[in-house]
Amino acid sequence: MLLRVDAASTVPLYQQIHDQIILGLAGGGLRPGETLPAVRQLADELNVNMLTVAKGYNLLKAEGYLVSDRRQGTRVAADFQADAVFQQELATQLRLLIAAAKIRGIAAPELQQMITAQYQAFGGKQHA
Amino acid sequence: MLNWIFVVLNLLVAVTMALTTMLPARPHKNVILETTVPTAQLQHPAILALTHQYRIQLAWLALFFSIGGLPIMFIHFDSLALLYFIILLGALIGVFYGTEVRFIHKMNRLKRRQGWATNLVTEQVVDTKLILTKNRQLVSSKWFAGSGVLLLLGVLLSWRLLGWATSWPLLLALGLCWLLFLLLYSVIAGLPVRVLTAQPEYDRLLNDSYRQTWSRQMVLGSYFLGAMPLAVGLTTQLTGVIYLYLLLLVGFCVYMVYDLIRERNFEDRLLGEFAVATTTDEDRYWRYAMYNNPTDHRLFVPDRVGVNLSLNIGRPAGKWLGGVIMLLVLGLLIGVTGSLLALDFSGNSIRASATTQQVILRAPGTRTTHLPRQQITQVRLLRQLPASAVRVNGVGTTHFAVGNFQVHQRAAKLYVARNTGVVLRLRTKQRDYYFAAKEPAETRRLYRALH
Repeated sequence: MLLRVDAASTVPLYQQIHDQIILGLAGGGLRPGETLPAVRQLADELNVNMLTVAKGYNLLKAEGYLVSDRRQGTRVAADFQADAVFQQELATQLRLLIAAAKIRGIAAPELQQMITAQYQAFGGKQHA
Repeated sequence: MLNWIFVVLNLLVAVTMALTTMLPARPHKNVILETTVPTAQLQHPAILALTHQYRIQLAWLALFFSIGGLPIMFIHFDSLALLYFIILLGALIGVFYGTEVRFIHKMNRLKRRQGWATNLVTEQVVDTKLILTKNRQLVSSKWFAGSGVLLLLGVLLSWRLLGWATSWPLLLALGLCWLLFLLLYSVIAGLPVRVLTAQPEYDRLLNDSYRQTWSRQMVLGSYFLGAMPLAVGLTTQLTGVIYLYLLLLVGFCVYMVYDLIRERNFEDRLLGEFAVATTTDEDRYWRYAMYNNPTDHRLFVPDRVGVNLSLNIGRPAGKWLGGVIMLLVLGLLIGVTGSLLALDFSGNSIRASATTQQVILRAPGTRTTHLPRQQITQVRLLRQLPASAVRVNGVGTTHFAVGNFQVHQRAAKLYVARNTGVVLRLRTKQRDYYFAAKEPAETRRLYRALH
């Protein structure tokens, strides 16, 4: 996948790496089980501090997107579960976004349409 | 002979400088004359007119400096010929570089006037798959073992034939240069992947080709360096070896230039078939054709002309390395010119004295010899220096031979003003010493004192 980070953005670099990898996974640019560059290697390529990359990777590992071991390095996890913890987190974030949309006068059907469009933009298999 | 070498060398430098300085006027990616312009504007009439004017000026400069070197033929003194050549060389490099900088400014002004300013891109793009296999076409580092062995064999041969005291400066310089090739190889292996077309298969092709070409150059370069002490050592036994080596070296230099330009053309041809999606505007980091970016951790970066690696002078290590290299080159030039000036214009620059204990031989540009008299096994007066004298290091011109040589396959230290009609040879168990002062009477006086 093409990983893009912008040093001039207000979003922290580790967060950009984190978000880009999740977006890449959803869009099919990254496949389950695919190997990713090591922390040092990616830091060299992006000309950023190693700790920045490590922070982004650690966050992704904690959320279950990445796994790593000494033999095989850092890889994308083989499968992903929408477990209770994730669903709770998703609900919290959605609640906040929906609240902001409601304040600005976006109606529920319009919001649902937007979510569907975004979901479909990632392509691939549609979940029921 | 030396004068002719300087004239030909000056001609070669002038033509090479003109050709290499012309290269930035041919667009590489969307950079022309160190200025990033939109791809669609690369063939704009104003750009074509400016680059045409630039090429014409460089051609005139090459002609001017080639003619400027001709008076060297009529200079009698080696030191003055060298001094003239060095001053001309300095002026040539300065004027060519100044012309390039002037036209870079002109191109920048044109860019501003035409409103071609591209947005500053702060985004970095990398291909995670390409990163993992970016060095798959890199020539293996194991090849350096071969050149290392060659270098080691050359060191052993030089040590055996010439002695450590004679050969260590050359060996040290070659060893450091060999390490520099290894360092540049690792720089090439470490260069970040470039996403230029946003089409993974073409980015991979560009990446593989770039790394393979450059790593091949580094490996080949290390072999030519590694073989040099062996060639020098063998030359002392068989004179023709050095000519064969020089011929191969010239062949390698021609091939290197051809290969790098081929690589540059290949990249441009491939990029020309696709929209350049992510070539960023780095003009602010390239000042006067030098890279100055303190936020970039890399010490060496590929230049924007596509045929070189540039030092990042924005880093403290870059400043130090650039400064040390410049000092070394200047020191070498000043040292050699100073020695030749002293030889030419100092009345008794080559001199000797003898006491009951020792003989002292002195000349500019080489170490003074304190030779104990009991070590001298033979003293002989010759009409001239044997024709088989091969220089190992030191000064060897039409008028002087000073430093370490190999004469009749024996190590020899020379303090000789040529063509004086008389040369004194002092033989010891380890090596011979040849002495000829500018005044033949002084050489004969030393002979009488020792005989």
